[in-house]
Parts: sequence; C-alpha cells; structure tokens
Amino acid sequence: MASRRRTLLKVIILGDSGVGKTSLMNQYVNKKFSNQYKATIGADFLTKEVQFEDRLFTLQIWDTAGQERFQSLGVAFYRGADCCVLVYDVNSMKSFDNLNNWREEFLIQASPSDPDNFPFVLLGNKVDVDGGNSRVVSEKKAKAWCASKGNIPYFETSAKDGINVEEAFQCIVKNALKNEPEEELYMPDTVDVVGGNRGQGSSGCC
Amino acid sequence: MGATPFDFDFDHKRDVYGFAVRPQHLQRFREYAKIYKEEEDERTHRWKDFLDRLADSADLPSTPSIHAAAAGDAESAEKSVKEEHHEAENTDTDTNLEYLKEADGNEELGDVNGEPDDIKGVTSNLEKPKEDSSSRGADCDEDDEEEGEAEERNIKIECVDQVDDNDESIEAKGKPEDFDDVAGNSEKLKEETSADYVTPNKASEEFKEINEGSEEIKVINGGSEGFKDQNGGSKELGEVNNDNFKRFEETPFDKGLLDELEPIKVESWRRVRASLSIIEKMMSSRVVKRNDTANAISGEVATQLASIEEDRAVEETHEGNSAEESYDAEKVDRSQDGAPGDSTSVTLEGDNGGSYFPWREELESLVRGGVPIALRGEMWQAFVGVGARKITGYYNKLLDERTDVLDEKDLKDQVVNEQKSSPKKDPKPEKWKGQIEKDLPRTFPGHPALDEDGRNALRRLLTAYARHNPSVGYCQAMNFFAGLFLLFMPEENAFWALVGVIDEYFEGYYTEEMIESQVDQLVLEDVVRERFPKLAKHTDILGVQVTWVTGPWFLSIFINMLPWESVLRVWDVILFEGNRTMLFRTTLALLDLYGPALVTTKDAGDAITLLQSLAGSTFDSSQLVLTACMGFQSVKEMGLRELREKHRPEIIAAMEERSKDRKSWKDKKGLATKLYSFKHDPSSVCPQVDSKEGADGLQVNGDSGSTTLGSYLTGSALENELDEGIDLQDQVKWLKVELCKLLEEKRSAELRAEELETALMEMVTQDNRRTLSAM
Repeated sequence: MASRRRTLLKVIILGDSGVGKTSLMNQYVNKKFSNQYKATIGADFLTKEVQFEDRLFTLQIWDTAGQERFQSLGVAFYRGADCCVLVYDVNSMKSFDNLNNWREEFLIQASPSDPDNFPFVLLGNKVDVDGGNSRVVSEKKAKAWCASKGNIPYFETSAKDGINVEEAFQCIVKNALKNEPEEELYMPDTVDVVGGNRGQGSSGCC
Repeated sequence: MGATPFDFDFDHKRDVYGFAVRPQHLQRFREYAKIYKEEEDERTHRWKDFLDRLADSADLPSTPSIHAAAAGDAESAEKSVKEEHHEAENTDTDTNLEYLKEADGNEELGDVNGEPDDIKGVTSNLEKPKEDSSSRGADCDEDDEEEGEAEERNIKIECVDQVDDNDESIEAKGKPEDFDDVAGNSEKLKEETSADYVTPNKASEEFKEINEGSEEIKVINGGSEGFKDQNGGSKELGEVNNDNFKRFEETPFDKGLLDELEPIKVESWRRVRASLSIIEKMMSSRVVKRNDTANAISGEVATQLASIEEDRAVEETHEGNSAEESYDAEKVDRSQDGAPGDSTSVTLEGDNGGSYFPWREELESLVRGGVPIALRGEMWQAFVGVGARKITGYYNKLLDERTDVLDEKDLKDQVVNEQKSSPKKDPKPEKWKGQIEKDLPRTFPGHPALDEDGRNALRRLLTAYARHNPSVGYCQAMNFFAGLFLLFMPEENAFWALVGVIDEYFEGYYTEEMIESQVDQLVLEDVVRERFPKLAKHTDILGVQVTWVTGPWFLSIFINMLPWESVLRVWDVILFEGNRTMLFRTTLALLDLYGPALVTTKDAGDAITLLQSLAGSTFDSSQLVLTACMGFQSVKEMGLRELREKHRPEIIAAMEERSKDRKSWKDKKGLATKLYSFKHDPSSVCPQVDSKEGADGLQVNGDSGSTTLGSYLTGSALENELDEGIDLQDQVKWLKVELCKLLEEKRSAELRAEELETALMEMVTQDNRRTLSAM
C-alpha cells in the first residue's frame, strides 16, 4: 500500500484575520513560530508529506487572507479541497461568530458534491494567550457549535506553543480522506478507516 | 524599539532598505549585494548625467524647481539647509538671483499645471539646446558654442558646490575610483562633506519641532555607528567604503526618509532638482485631469498648488527675512495667473504628452535600469505626481475628522473588544479600523523604521486613505504600500502617492468586490496560455492554476514575493508607467525564467512551491526587469485593456451568481444555521412562525416555512449574534421549539403526501377504468 502513488490532499485554512492561520500552518509544517508574520495577501501555500495508516500523502495546505473581501478570490482555490480547517481565536468573540460565514462561504464557493458531509475541522487557537485569562469563547460553546454543524472535530490549539497542532492536522488528514473520491480504488481496510471516522466525537478524532 | 531603534539587537539579516532577508536567501543575498552596489554606482552616474543634461537643455533655472518634491514637512528643514548654504556660497546666490529673473519670465515653465504652449516652450528649448546653452552662457557671462562644454562650465562655474556635492554623493555610494576625476577638488570636497554633515542634524532638529513623532531623526544624528552591524549586506560593503557610505546607506532606513535625505540631497542633487521638476511636470500631466474630486473638496487649492510651491522655492533663494510676506503676496498673484484653465489644458497635453518630451524614452530606459536609492523617493513622487495631486490641508482634514470620537484609546479599545461593544458608540463605524490595527504590527515586522512612531504614521496614512476613498476603505496589502512609501517620503506625500496608486493605477482592485483584481487574473491566464502553451498544458495536467500563485503577486505588487531589490525595481517601472502592464510583464518574465523548471514538476504542490520559491529568490533584479520590459514589450496596456473588457462580464456574472447562491443557500440552510445562531427570545420567533404557518395552511410546507424563518432570523438574530454568548439552556429551548416545528412540518407534509397519494390513486383507478372500458 505504501508503494502506491502518493495521494494529494488539499486543505484550506479559513478564518478571520489575525486568528493565527499562517502561524498554525507554519507550526505544523516547519515546527516554527514567529510573532513577526506578515499579513497574508490573497493566499499562501505549503506542502507537507504525511504518513497515515501506512500510506503516504502530500498535504497541500492553503493559507488564506482573513479579510472578508478576499473571499471573492477564494473560488479559484477552494475548489477541489478535501478538507476545510476553520480557525478562530478563543480570545475574540467576533472571530468565533464569523465561523458560520466562513463555512457557508466555503461551501458556496467550493461547491462540493455533498455539502452536508463535507469535512470541516475547527481549531480554537491562541489558548496560550494570557494564560487563558483573556479567553472569551468557552470550549463548551465551541463544541456546541461543532455539534450543530454535524459533529465537526474540534481542537484547542496554540500555534505559539505547538499545543495540539500535530494532533489537529492528523485529524485533518483523516477527515480529508473521508472525502476521497470513490473511483480511486482502495483496499477494504482503507475503507474501514473512512467508515470508522464517522461519528467521531466533537473533541477530536485522533 | 524606543529611542534607539538601531541598537545591536538586530540580527544581521536586513538589507539596505531595512527589510529582513530570509535565512534561506542569505547566501545569495550576500552574493548579490556586491552586484547591487555596482549597479547602483553605475545608475547613479547615468542618472546624474541625464538629469544634468535635462536641467541644462531645458534651460530651466535650477532654483524654482526645488519645490518639486520638497513639498510638505521637509520643506523647512530643507530651507534652513539652503540658507546656510547660501551664506557659504555667495556667488551661487548671485547666479540664482539672475536665474530668478529668468524664472519670472518663464514662470509658467515651472508650473506643474502649465499650459500646452508653455510645455511647447520647454520642448523647443529641448530641441534647440545650442541656442539655449548659448543664451544661458550669456546670462552667466560665459559664451561657448559647444553645448557640451557649456554644460561643463556651467556646472563648474555656477555650481561649484554642486559639483562637489555630486562627487560627494558618488563617494557616498562608495566608488572611490570616481574620485580621480575630481582629484583637484577632493580636499575641498572633504570639507564640504563634513560641513554638510552637520546640516542634516540642524535641519532635523528643526523638523522635529515642526513635526512631532519624527523620532527617526535621532537616527541620523547618532545611529550611523550601529548601522553597519545591522546589515548583513552592508557589512561587506562597509569594508570597501568609508563613512560616507554608511551615511548614504542609513538614510533609506527611515520612514520619513525625505526628511533626512532632503538636507543632504538638496545640496548634492541640486541641479537634479531642476530636472526633477521637468520630469514631475511631464508625469503630472496625467494626474491633473483626475483632480476633479479633490478639487471639489478644496476648491481651487489644487490648481494653485504648483505655483505656490514654485514661489516657495523662489522664496528660498531670496532667503530674506521679509521673504514670508513677499511669498504670501506672490502666492496670490501667481495663483491667479496659474489657476484658470489649467486642468483642461493639461488634459490636452496629457493625451499626447509623449511627443512633447523627447527625452521621455531616455528616462524610460533609465527607469528600467533602476532609480538610484537616493533619488527613489523623489522620483516616485514625481512619477505618481504627488505634487500635482496634493491639496494643502486635505490630509490633515481627513485625519481631523471625528478625532474626538476616534482617539487612539478608542482605537485600542476597539481592537480589544473586537467591536463587541463599540458599534453603538460610533455613529458611523469605520469598520476597517480593526483590520488596520491588526495589520500595523504585521507590516514589515521588525523593520527599524516601523517603531511606534512609524506605526502611528502608518495608522494615520491608512486611516486617511480609508476616509478619502470609502469604496476601498482599507484592504490588506495597502499596509505594505503605505509602509513602503513611508520609507521613501514624508507622511503627507506618502498619502498622495498612495492615493495615486490605489485610486488610479489600481482602480477597482482593492474595493470590496475586488473585481479588477479578478479580471486581471483571467487576462493573465489568457496571456500565459498564448505565450507559454507548453507550460499551460503542463499546469493543466497537474491541475494547477497559475493564478493561484500570481494572484497574490498582483495583489501585493510583488511585495514579500520577490527579493526587495527586485520589488523596488518593478515598482520603479510601475510608478513610472502609471498602469499595471508591468505586473503582467514581470509575471511573464518570471514564468519565462522558471517555466523550464516548472514543466519538470510532477504534482501540483511541487509546481506551486517551486514557482513560489524561485520567485522569492529572484535576486537578479536587472535580468528580471529587462526580461519583463524587453522580452514582453509586446504586452501592452491597450491589448490588456481589451482583454479586460472581454473578461469583466464573466467576473461580474460569477459574482452575481455567487450572491444568488449565497442567498438561496442561506435560505436553504436557514434552519440549520439559524438553529445555532438563535440566542434568546425564542418566544418572539415562535409566534411569528406559527402565525405564518397557520395562515398559509397546508399549502406551505417545509421549504417556505423555513424560508420565512431564515429571513426573519437573518434580519435580527444574526445581528444580535455579537452581543452575547449562547447559553445552552437557550439552545435547548430553541431545539425544542424547532423540534415541534419540524414535527408539525412533518405532519403537514405527511398529510399532503397522503392527499397526493389519494389523488394519484384516484387518477390511476380512473385511468384503469378507462383502459378497461376501452377494451
């Protein structure tokens, strides 16, 4: 199985400006954090090789600009995504409230074949800030939102400290596989993985 | 960063401009630093030569044109320098006075808004340099038949100090060989240098008084030492060069660059300024016609502006104590002379401006070769037509607006609260404010000039622009443009440069819908397909759209996408040309350079990553710009415009389609989405829903029911979303209500289904009967 041609998984990271999309991506791919990131204009892109269940994947991670108006450019690269990662800042209510908007906009623009079951993963970032004292969105609330959207897996992360980032992306890979086109033939055990993935709790899947 | 922004805590990874060099590029950057320096020396010569000739051949007195880019904050600093200088060089003052008479005669020549006739005057001067130089020679008691000699002597005789200064600036760029040419002067030169060195300090002190928040001036006073260390590239260079190089180098670091540059450059590039005004005049011819809106705000100020500037310059040469008064008087006179009919005449001239400026081509080729660092700020201002755009007081007026409401504390509160509480307080919330605050620290992070004062200036600039053009407001990427301009010119001028670029060069690019930006990407795709069919085929196979990568290139005008030297070289051309053609050409050049590598890639990720990283290491800026300008010369604005017209409808249609989708999606998903957004007050929702359902009866089932609910909630509940957290209890309540509603819908749907089934059965029965009877 591992000898098969590696599979591409396209992942889009969405969320308000400044919630830490670029940081999360860089923490995951380069294991680095800087508090000197530039504002992302349009979109940025990184790849990472990942191994999952004895198979090799290339993860294409698209980091997007957080300003709302850039959404209009999204249609170009949302298409063909295998998973959409929504990010909010646990210290910003607005970034949480906008999640609906991001999700809907993604579904409209990516127009996946089965929007109701398209895999999303939610990340509540910046849990490290101020020792959690400036936090305004509770875990409960975030999970409730995830539950209302069809059990979206949820992780609380800190791109700065690297908390939960690896785990979150493991889950992202797993969920991205859920969406893999049927026509690519897989061994039964792979299908099992896909099947077993369903109905995972909102507190993450890995 | 505080008072000593150039302390040692900097890594050695910043370039001449103060921008960080990516670690993976350090090695190559070091290699290219030498080449950059050589190029810089060479272009400095070429530009000096060109500008000298321009000044001479145009027979324009150098002094009145000093206004060219000196407008704004730096002016007084400049003036004081000039005063000192004139005291030292009385002979020079005399010639200047002579020129003054001439200036009066040729008054309109120096006027940015000059009428076509006057421009022709310039042209004829340019065309007959011999006559000019001889007449000029007469003025200076120096008749020489040979133009070249006349030029030389003019320089020597009238502007001894200038020659020295020019040499000084050459020296400052670290080319000791050039020294030999002026070996005789070298002693004097050193004196000059040290004398000049003092003036910036004085000037900047004065400037500090005028403009608070100009901390950066301290830098020039004391920062030169630490500088060498901060700069990876310059360290190498520094070994070759003397102190002057350091001095030259540090100036570009500062946001109010002109403020420091000015005192030095005004002296060393004085003749340059004469030519600068000519260039500015040419460039601004395409500006003035656009000034209508601005005029509406400030009346005739705009048209008066040029003459005001000119008079200021004149005043500087007069340099008497009474200058202020005569300046005011003159100002009124001149503005009356200059104002009427200006904009129309310039519009005419702008249409076929090229033919009036025979040296335009030479200038174009110089621009393609790069603008010297020392001149960049002023040239950029001249290219964008800052002087012609500028309306005195407009910038401050924009900033004064609602300052009572929007002081900085408010701004900070706003960020902290994320609009949680503020919208009510502000009568007309400026929704871009939060975004600007977020992006301030994300604009060239760590850049020495963007300390607290730098960020404040950046904030003011972006705020002023957003108020100036609400249809754009603030769009990410503008922070980079504004930041860049601030490095090269005074704040207010940077504002006008930004206005020029966003309002005109990139009109429709950064608005809410970003239509032109999308159109350009479609156009680019067309052009790429035409130019690089093989590459296009390959990317098609990989499933890659080139626009994924080029979109961000265009939007950020290559900032952060190419090495800085290349970015600035591309900007030189863009600002000069006044349109977006260079974006296309540069992109095509990059694809030309890296296409061969791209077609070897095996998957989409590799292709994109490769293109990005190759672009990011395009250190050979000359190769890039020349490939772009020469290799893709046939890509022209006119052709692009046609393609834009062709593609625009698609974009607009797609946009409308999406907004329809959005609406129907919202309606469709209304229930599920709103289920969550529901916060409180479920009772107020239910009665309405119930009554609707009741009224519409059986006909209304599932779909329309949730539509009503959806639109109702979109109207109210969504907006309340910011107010409060979602209580689980509320959710349970809401779920119950929803459940009831769904059950009801289900029941009615079932009823309807039953009805339909019955009806169908009946039809079938009837049909059967008929069949039977027919048999």
